[in-house]
Amino acid sequence: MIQFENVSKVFSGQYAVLKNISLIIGQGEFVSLVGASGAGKSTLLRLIYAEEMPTEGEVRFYNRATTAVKQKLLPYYRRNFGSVFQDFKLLPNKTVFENVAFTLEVDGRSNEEIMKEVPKVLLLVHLEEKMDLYPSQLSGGENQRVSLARALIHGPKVLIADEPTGNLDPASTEEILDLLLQINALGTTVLLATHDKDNVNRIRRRVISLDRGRVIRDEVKGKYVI
Amino acid sequence: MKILKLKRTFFEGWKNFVRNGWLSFATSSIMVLSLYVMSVTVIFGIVGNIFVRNGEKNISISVYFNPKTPSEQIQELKSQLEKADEIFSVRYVSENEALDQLMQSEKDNPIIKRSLEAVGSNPLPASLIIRAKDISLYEKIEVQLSQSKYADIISHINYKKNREMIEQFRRFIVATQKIGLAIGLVFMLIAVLVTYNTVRLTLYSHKQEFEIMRLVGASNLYIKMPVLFEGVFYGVFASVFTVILLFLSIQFFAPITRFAAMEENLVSFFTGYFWIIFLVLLFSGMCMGVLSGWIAIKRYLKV
Repeated sequence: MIQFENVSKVFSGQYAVLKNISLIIGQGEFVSLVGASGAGKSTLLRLIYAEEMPTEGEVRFYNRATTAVKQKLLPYYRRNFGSVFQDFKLLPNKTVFENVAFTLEVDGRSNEEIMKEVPKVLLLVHLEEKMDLYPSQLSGGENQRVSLARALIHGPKVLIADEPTGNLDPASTEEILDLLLQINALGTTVLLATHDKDNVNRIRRRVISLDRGRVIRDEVKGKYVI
Repeated sequence: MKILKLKRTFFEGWKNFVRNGWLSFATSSIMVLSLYVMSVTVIFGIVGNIFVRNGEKNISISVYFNPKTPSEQIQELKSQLEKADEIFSVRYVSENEALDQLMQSEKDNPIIKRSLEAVGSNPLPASLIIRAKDISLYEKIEVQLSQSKYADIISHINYKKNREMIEQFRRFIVATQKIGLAIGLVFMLIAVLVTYNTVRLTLYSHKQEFEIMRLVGASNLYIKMPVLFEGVFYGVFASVFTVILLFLSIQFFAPITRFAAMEENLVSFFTGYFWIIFLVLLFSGMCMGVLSGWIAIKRYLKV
């Protein structure tokens, strides 16, 4: 599904963030990307949804290189992915419902569909009772669940989670990870970049370890070992 | 789907406009300033022109003939003058007509009446009232007449209205128009730049939103549209306020221009062309808003 072939990424001509990465990620996998800050986790993820382009090599999604996607079609390409971040990236002046509905609005879905789909996904993340509140009225864990709902609403093929639990307390972290596993169980490929050793070890899924831009370990039922 | 997206981006723009109330107010006010400066410059120019043209229409030259000049000769001169390029109209005023006019205009003045009775006969000469096509041609006409074969029958040539005053006023208007236009242009430029910068700052507050929109797969156009609509709203509000401001300032300033008989010109120009003025302002305001938004958003949009 996702394939990295000898990918390197160099920023502003000198500093290589990723060096000669080759990877294959299959459909329905749950992959944890671990490594110290600056190891290149985020860049690797950004290459997948074409926020960055590789300096060398190719990143392919369903056998199609990201560099082959026309500029104009990039927004449509990105709709294959849902993403969550450490800082949630919610719109502060929209309610929970509106934040989640926004993805569908952008996609041009009808109002009826939006009214039908949004409550469903909010039910999945257990926020059905808080859909009229604003992000500022929610806890960190709740906000991350809103952002998860937003990432899922349009049925993406891949869910990209870049340090989603970085700002959360242990209970919320567990909750989010359980949700990610649940989403993965429903067939969505999940890519998780994280620092959270305990939870990576707990879930016993594929772990790719990065160190200074290189893959140093790739285990099917891996542990966080750095 | 396109109409749905258009509708959504329209309301998105409207929501942004309302939600950022103060920022929208500030941006619109800056735009009011620039539109106001532009319209004052333009209106002053146009009304000034109307005034000068009206003034020019009232200027004429009067050629008085010696007493007892046969009217055939005067008619001959008249028809020759009418053929000349630089002349707009020629009117013949006979001795009797001149007397009638005098009696009419001085009917309340017993001295004139008595002195005319004392003279017994009509002392007034016949004349031709000539209007040139342009104010600058009078001098030439005067010289040509006094050098022509008709010079013998002409007693004197006179400007009916105070030519010197009109000429001076004309120069004043032209000079102020030039200065006004120069200042106006500078102000306009400043105003447009300030508007652009204000819109850019406003957009800065949306920066995160753009990022999130891109994240959920919004196309660049979908991100741009609300901003452009917001620009339209700035323009609409700014033009409405500018028209109100213009109306108030014309009400206030028109009486001051009374000395130059411009009061009526100003008010009638404003009311007569109200819709055109409003539409031009609306259009310029919207263009300014949309263009500023268009240029400014480029900074925050990358694919």
